[in-house]
Amino acid sequence: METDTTFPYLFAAYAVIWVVFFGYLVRLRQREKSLGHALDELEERLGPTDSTD
Amino acid sequence: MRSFSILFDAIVFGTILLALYAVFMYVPGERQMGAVQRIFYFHVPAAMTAFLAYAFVFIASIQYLRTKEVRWDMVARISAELGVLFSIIVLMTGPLWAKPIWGVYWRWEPRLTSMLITFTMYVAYLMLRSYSTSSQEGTSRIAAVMGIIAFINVPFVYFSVQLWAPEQQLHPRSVELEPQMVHARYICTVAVMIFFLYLLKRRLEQEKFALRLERLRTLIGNPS
Repeated sequence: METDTTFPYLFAAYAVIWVVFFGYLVRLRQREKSLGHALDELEERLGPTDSTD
Repeated sequence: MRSFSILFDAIVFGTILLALYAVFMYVPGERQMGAVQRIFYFHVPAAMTAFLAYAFVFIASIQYLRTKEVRWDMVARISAELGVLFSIIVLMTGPLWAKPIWGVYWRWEPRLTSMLITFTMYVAYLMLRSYSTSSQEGTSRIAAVMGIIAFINVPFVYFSVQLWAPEQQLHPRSVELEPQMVHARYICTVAVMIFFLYLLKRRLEQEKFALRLERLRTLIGNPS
């Protein structure tokens, strides 16, 4: 491993990459949850149903 | 289908781990630039992946105008969203690499400027889709035309180092890499592109699910 002055820039760049990717994945997960809630609401409106899953 | 999904998740995870191993363990340090050169292995693949995403927008937009099928419109929109995501990575990691090497975070040189213009056009494309007051079909049609026009920028970004004079450039025209660096670049390109396909697949599944839900709501008379 190098011990040079450019290390903070390397660290910052990879931090940016992870933050952007994880931020997007969290947003995806939140959207999935909200779609799940919407489906639950719809099922409630339709009345009790037998789950086959 | 479920086992394919698990296999795909494993491939995504495995290739990203392999890419990180290649970048931080396998590749030798670059003598002139030092540690910061390791940004290259995600910066360049992210740019290639953004171009791939924009190519998807281009093809899907043409297909939408030809067939008027909603699925093509969906592919175009999601690809544009992912293209912007990967462009953000390019535009943020680039200046962090530039500062210790060129002494500045940003300069209005051909590749940086053309990349920023391309990014801005696709952000405008997404804004058009979000804030348009036209009908759904009208918005999709205008967006498809914009998705085709915006793609004209991509070759300009790619060939900008050849199109403009060398004294105007900060990016090199060609790069000599050691064999291990070439291997790492290929591994990272494959890993980032597989990750893009994973995100595309997941977003498409979500959008299809949302569409089905909307149709179901309409069917049972609950427009909320």
